Amino acid sequence: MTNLWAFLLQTLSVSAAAVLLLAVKRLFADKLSPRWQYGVWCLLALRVLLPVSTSRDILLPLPVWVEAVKTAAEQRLASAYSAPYAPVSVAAPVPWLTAVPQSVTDWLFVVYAVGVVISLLWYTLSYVRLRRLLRFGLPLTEELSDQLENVCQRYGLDACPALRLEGLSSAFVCGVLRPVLVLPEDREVDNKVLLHELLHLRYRDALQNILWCLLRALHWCNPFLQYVFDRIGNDMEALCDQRVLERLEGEERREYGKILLSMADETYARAPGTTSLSNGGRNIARRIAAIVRFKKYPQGMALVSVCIVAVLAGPVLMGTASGYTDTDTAPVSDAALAQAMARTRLVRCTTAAGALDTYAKGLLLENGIYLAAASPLERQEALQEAMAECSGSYLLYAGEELDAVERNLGYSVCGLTQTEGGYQANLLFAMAEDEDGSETSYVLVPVIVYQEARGWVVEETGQRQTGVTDSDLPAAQYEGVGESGSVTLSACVLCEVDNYISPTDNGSAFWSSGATFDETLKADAEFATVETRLTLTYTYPEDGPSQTVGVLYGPTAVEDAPEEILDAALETQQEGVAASGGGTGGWNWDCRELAQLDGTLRSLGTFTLDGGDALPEGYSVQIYWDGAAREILTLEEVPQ
Amino acid sequence: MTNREKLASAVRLTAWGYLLIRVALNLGTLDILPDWLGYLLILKALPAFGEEEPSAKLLRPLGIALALWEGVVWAAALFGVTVDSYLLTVLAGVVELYFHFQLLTDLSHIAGKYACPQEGKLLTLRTVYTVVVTLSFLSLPWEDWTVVSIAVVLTGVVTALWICKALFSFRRSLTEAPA
Repeated sequence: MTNLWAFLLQTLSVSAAAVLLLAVKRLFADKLSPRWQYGVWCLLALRVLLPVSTSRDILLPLPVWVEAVKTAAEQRLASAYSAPYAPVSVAAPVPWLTAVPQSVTDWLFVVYAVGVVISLLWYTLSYVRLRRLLRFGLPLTEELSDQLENVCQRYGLDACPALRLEGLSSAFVCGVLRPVLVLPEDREVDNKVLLHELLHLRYRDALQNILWCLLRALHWCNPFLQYVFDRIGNDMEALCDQRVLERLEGEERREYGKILLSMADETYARAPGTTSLSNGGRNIARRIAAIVRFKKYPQGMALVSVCIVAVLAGPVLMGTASGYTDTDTAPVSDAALAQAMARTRLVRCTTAAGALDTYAKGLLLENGIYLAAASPLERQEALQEAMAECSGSYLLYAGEELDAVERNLGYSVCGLTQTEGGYQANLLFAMAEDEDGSETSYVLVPVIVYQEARGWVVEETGQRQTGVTDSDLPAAQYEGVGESGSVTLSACVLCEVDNYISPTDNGSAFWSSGATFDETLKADAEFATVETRLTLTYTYPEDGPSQTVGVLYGPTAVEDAPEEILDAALETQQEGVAASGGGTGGWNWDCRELAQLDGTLRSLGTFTLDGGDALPEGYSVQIYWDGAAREILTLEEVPQ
Repeated sequence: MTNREKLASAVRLTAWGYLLIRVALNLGTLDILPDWLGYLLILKALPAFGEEEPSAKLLRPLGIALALWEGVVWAAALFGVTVDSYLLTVLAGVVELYFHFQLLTDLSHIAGKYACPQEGKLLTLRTVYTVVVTLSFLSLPWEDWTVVSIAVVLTGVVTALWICKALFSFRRSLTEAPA
């Protein structure tokens, strides 16, 4: 934790987890034994030790709330530890000062960090003072020594060095590595009290006490968690009581309860590395209630106890993935807008396709939240200001070039190519068609997509182009020359995320006939299809074929083409009729009569890959003259 | 009415309760076999079980809580609203887990007391049911584990129906055996 906001998020998340655990413990107070009641706190210990994720919610959307408050607060400050638009993050559960404090939030964080150190020092000093006090302890009387030995023998427990100390109200064990059993000098000690302390010794409760003190120190300024840590200490004692009662019989159990009752008015001082039968009047009342239930806890509950902890582990330790909802992308108030923007900084796009999809939808729907979710963090402030100026809501004008695009047609990603550190691509938006049915034209938005610290982001890199037609689309060029003429092939790669909802998907099949464009934000989308549009141009020599000319082309060597494609292509060529076909494995063929051509054959084909498949490195072409295979050309990419 | 008859009647209510809880017959988004009714039937049966197994009495507040929760979810569905509270869903989940585990444990013990042959079967079904319900609550990549998730769902359905069958047969054992 390097700033106040990280601590706030961590401590609120731990508090939310504690609320859930307290609620569940309350439900099962009389149903699950003290072993479960104490054991379930291990989830809280792990929650305190694990840095909270800002893209997951522990019961409540705390990361978004903290981020929104942080942005509002830090805008007026010049903090050294945090910036308004740098998303809050928790790298470690302990505080760490990284610079000289500059602002009030910085100083508050310093106060917190110093408080942690002081708490730890206080616990250490308490322990050291106690150990020094033990120097004045007296050896056990022969009678007391025999009593201790008898208790150890009767219950099969190991003893540790023991001594008597003046002014003590109750016995306690002090220390982990060299534990000492400390007994009051001037009063009798009951065997059951000795048993209680020896059981603390056996189960190393002093060591657990140190762990809880360390965790307590990390959240010293959170009063709710201080209360929770008190409850944990009490549950540890209740478990020890349970262990004692399991070893006692009949009347002894009642007497043990009376001993606890007699301590109800005593005060106690907490010190790390120590355990004591007495832990304060209020806590004793709870322990007595647990003792009363000792025999009533249902037996044979081990399996369900473990299962309940397993079910709780998910929400307490991992939380739930914090995704976008409809209200995030269409906020209606200033506070909702601030929270939606906060989420865009915390929940980033996890894939390049997700970033392109989110950005493209942002332009298409004029949605500032979508644009912010896929834009670099440094643009967040400008986008938020633009939204505030533009409409005071999530709407953000995307530019006049996109005024006439057809929303329902969605978008495509064209010419996606890998670059150092990311990809470059063009977002392609179809314009609304003219009534005269002229060729579809597009708006082309050149972008780069790259990975920032927390996810993939998109930046526009050049002028938007309007009126672009299919033949103008950016494409890779391949060439090959042989005895039978020359071939050029242009390959335009179009990628699409599955954004079409069929009427049967959304239950509107009765009243809707066509698919609709899915406008939801998909930060982790993958490309569902990668389609390569191929345009092959074959220029044959004048003294070449006499009746028909044909081509078969695809992404691998011709001999590797699918059998059925090779057969179908050859059959078509031999029949000598104008026909085309293909598709399987990216292979296409074409056959034309010379009378229809003027020295060149132009063939259109497609090559569709499932998302994630690699694009081919080159293409091969089989040339046919007059129904017979003539030559195979290998096409090489022409650098652009 | 003898104890045996009272128990047989309570077990019959519980069997119908389980059937209502585990079988969903949806009309749009509305379950016409509402779970809350199932819990009410089980709640009605609890006092009879409590006389035999005191720990069954502890289930009453949990049963009321589950009936209320299911009632709220059902009523919300009636008006086309989805109850979307993660905290309450988790709490209802753990309560449900405990409730059925404890109830089936108690029923198994009662079957043992009355020398009914369903004692062992109810315990086994309880264990399988608890593990399946726990698995379904865990945040595991179910979408990627198609075969495992189908196996878990099928096991859950089969176990739930088997529990109903075992309870009806337990009721028969109670009524058929000599008083």
